[in-house]
Amino acid sequence: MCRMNLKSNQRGFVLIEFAIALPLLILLLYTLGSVNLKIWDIAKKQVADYVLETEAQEIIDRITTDARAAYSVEVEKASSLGDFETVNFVCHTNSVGKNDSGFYDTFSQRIYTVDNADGKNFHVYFKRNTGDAHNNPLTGDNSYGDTVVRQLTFSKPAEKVLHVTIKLESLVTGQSVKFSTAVFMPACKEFKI
Amino acid sequence: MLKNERGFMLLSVVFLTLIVSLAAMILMNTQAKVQQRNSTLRLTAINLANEQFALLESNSGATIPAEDLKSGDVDFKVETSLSGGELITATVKVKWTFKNQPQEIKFQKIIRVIHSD
Repeated sequence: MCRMNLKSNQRGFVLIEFAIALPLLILLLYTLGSVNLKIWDIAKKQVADYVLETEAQEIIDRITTDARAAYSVEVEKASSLGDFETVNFVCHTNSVGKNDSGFYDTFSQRIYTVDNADGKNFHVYFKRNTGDAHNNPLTGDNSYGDTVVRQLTFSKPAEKVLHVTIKLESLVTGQSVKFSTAVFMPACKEFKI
Repeated sequence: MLKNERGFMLLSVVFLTLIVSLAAMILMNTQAKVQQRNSTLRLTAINLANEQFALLESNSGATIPAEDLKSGDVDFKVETSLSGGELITATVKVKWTFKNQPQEIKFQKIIRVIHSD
């Protein structure tokens, strides 16, 4: 008797429980999924911003380090490319290996340009000398956050002082950073700007 | 059996609320970090200090361009003090405000002023 009553009371229980639990489960999974996606999106933006800052600061550091040791500096306006300029540093070196004529080079070059070699976005490139076939990209094409250069300009605020400004924009977050600094070039004999 | 299940709904709602609250707390915490941009301002301040050192080394009397002293809504204030003879100890302080909190970095560099030819 008792067994029969129990069965009678339990009739439809699983269906009702399922009807209550399933929407709750869906709601719970949806909420957790949304939060998870949001956190992932935030993390992606954080990393992209980190890449943006790092790339901009790296360009500033490289240019100022090369400028500090430069024997001569030549800045050229990169025509029709936007707010960009090319800087060519010539530095004294003890020896950088034999050249084609069998002599040791006593100068080396550091050339920074902005170009859109990929046909889409402008990036900063680096060459070791004018004849260097390798135009090494210094910005962009980073898996963690692609960037594009908006400005790379130079000025001469004082004698033997190179002022550099770079502006980079993240293609992930749309944020941009602009860094400016100056470097004194004690060994600089020629400064064309 | 049904008697034992009493409170099932209540317990589910409590757990659901707890889990969602926890997720929201994590989200809010992460969101705050995204808005944290003091690292960029700090880099700007370091660049400003280096800029000041370069101008001091050139001994030209040139000053930092006004646009370099501003980053968005944030204004930077650069203070310089010099001491010494032939070798000058230059101290550069850069101050700015972030979320109503005063920020400051201080650099010192021993420089030899080279007079232009």
